[in-house]
Amino acid sequence: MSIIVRLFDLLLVGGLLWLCWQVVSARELFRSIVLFIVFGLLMAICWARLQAPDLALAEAAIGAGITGALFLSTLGAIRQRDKELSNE
Amino acid sequence: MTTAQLFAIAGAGIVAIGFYAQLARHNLIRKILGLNLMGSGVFLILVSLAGRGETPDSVPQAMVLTGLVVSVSATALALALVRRLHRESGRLDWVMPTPPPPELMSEDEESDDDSH
Amino acid sequence: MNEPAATNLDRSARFLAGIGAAFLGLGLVWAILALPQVEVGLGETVRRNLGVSGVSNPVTAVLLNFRGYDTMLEVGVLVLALIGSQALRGTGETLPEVDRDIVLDSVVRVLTPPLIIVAAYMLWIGGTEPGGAFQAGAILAAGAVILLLAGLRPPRLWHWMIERLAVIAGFLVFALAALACIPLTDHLLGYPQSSAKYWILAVEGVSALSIALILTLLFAGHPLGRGMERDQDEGDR
Repeated sequence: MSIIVRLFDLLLVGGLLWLCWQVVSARELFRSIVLFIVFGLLMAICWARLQAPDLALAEAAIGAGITGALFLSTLGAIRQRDKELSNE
Repeated sequence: MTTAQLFAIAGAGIVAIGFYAQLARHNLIRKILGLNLMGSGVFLILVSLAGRGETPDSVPQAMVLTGLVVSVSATALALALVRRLHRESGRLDWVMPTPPPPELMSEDEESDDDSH
Repeated sequence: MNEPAATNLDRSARFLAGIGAAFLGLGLVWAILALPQVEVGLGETVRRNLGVSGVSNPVTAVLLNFRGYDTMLEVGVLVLALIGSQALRGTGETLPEVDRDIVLDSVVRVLTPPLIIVAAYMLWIGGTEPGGAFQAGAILAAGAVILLLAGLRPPRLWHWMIERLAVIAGFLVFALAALACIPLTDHLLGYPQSSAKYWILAVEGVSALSIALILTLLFAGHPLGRGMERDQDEGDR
């Protein structure tokens, strides 16, 4: 039983670090942002694993949800502006 | 290695990767993403070290909950700054401002002298 | 949005950055492994004093009672961030027009009431189980962001004065509660023990609404209340 739990932990930690590296190194910004949202969801699982359910709830709603929406809307506004600039 | 240590070391790795993004990436949005990653790493270290005892310590958990909300507001402010920068200058990165070429400089100085 | 190809200078800078980041990471790992493996902290103190806090969820007890000070100032930080981000918005920048879609519209309409109920439940349950003002506020804000994305806008009655009052209401009520505690118990934010639960619930409820509104406005990037544009136009004339 403890081996399975340990395996799950290792998988979680490995996924977290891999996603983190992908967020930093992905060539396209959109991909980075989407992976950052996935990173937030994995963090929420981490909090649950570390017996911090309060944090898991907050991270899922704030870290993954609202922060991700903020980044995506900024990217959208910037692309819109770029399009306007190239049309002028 | 205990579970707490495993997650804390992962947190250290995340902080390091986020720090690398700060140093090596030009794009400001990516820097802000990196800043968020660094924050998550610090939170992970704090909470996993709080879980060393039999029942987890609730003070660091409450601190991190506060930190989560503060970091989202800081992110929003930073993104507003980036948006404004992009509106004003049309760029998304920070580069060392290059000084204007010398001929231009001297002309400017001359015109300044004339006006005096 | 692809970045330009790396130059040689870039590559060596990245290499140095990698070394710096590796040192930081290894230093942190060393610090973590050097820490003693025993529980040191305030967990035991919190557990011992949980009875006087008025709630039985230790995290809520710390946030709203033992360290209520931090939480109060945090709501203040949110207000400051909102002021900053609204000050930075360019003139004439408004929410993008959204093509209203009947399917999206009806899904959002069905989804919103349960979200509000979930948020209220989250707020109430925060006293005994995981949950509380921040989670409730975040869920409400997520619901409001969905509404904005679907192209729904606040009702006509939503005047900008109401909006600004609601933004500072959380901090205001928190600060008033803190001051009101001084004549009662001689301590700033020291709730009377017998009624601590109701104090916490009142402060949490108003804070949750303020947090939700602030997060929504941070997403929208500019005020949503009516009447603001007209006032500005008159000021310009």
